[in-house]
Amino acid sequence: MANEKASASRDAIYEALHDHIQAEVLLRDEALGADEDLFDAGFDSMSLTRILVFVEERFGTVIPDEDVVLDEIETLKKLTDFVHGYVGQPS
Amino acid sequence: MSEPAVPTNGWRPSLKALTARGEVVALQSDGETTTYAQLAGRAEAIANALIDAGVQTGDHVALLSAGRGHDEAAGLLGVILAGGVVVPLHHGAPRAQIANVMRAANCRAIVHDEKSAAHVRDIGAPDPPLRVELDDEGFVLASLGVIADATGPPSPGIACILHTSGSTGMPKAVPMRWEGIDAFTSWMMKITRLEPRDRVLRVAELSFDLAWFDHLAAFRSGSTLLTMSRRQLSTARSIADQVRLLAPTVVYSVPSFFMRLCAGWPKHEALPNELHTICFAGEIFPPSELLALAHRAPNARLFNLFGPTETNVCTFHEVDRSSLDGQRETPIGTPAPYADCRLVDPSDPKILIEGVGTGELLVRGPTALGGECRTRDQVRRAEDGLFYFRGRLDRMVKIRGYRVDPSEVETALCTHPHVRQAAVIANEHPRFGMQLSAFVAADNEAKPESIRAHLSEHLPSYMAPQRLVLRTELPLTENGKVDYDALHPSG
Repeated sequence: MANEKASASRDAIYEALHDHIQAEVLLRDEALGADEDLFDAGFDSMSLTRILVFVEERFGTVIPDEDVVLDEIETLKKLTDFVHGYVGQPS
Repeated sequence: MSEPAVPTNGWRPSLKALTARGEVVALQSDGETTTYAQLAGRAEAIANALIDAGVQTGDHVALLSAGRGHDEAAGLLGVILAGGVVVPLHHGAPRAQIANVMRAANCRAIVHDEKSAAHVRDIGAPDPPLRVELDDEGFVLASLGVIADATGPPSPGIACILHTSGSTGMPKAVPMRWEGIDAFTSWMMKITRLEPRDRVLRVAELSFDLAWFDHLAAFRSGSTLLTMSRRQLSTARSIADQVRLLAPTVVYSVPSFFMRLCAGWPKHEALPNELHTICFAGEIFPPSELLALAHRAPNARLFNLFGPTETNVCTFHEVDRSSLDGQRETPIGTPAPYADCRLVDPSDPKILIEGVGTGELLVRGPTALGGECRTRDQVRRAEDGLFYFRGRLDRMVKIRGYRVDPSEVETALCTHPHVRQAAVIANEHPRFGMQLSAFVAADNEAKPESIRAHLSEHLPSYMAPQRLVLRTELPLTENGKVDYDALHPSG
């Protein structure tokens, strides 16, 4: 059950991040692939800040800037896992 | 060391001077090194490609590098050696805006990297007639097209045209003269005590005046320019990793860069010992964060540099470490030696404010656009004789050092077919600084995605609001104007 709940909330995080990044960070029409490199897709040095603010406002979780490691956020899938580690704790 | 006096034009990079530096390292980044001899060779090849295709002295040439590799410096020098005026394009700018900027600036050619090739092709024919494509080391891959028509009227003495946010809905073009760049770089080389053994970290985009210090002062003094990719610049930890690896001695950037560097650096550990000069500009350094940086860099001299793009740096202040208490405001200091700075009455610039008082900063000198510039910055001359920044006379704000006029964002929003009215406010996020919130009065058919998409066609990414709130009506004052005080970022 715990797994199910965690996976459900992971999906919710994935969806929220996908929509936010596509429409509000990368500002593009095409859907974003789970393994697409976000930096090749057009991330700049301010994009990550926008996402951390979004996560803070949507999920009420503060992720410190210094905790973010490049390898863990460079695709939507990895980013979702990373954010899930802070947000999606099954209670 | 005495420079040859060139009173009308000012210093500019030459092939001879670059080549003479030989095997000294000109550019360094993670895993890549380019010597001055190599850089000179690549720049010469780019200049030749431009000249062979018909670029003439004074022609405007756009520069775009998506990868921020060594191609960017080679391209910059190539355009300069060809006698062109550099028009740096912002990587995050939408295609339509790039096309508009290139058309408005009358660019006759574009030099770009391989990574931005698809983007450039999509800008749309026939602009520009000539494309020179570089690989990430700065070698010419292809030169497509020729300039057949007669050249336009030359812009004598102009080095580059930068673009910054304006209120009209189009980026504002700010030409910078060689004479001003000469005055600025030679003075900066003095205060940073720049020598050939120095390592200058470049952070800013070339479309930003800070990067013109990094490139031109480094190449003029024969020191090494250190570069980082956008990917490396995007997290606090990767910034710290690169600073450790590249070991800069001089860094000129915005406060938010230094704050992220400190956040990513191991706690209780000092920044590299070699770092002897830190210059910051572009936004206010929160006093507690400046104190933290000073503790982390015990050997570095700290300079607060001030001035809008239209004047480049016009005042400066060397921070007195003993005065840092984490609360007191840092002055913007005293005029740079080439800048004649006065305070005037904003409603009548003929009225001079002398002695202690507050007014609009007016700057004259070689770096000022048109020789004289009303900055719209409100500045106080205090009892200690130093200048203090007191805010803007218009609504312009700084977002991570990028200047943004909220009315430019409003203008862009209002051109959407379903938007009747728009109001954009800036608010301070406790960790990430200024952010924009946009409120729009729209009809029932308006969709946020469509408004976002519309913005992306008209504004660079750093101007996109963090929040977009759709309403049927915006709150109005008794006079029928938008009541900005009644708008809150929470929606």
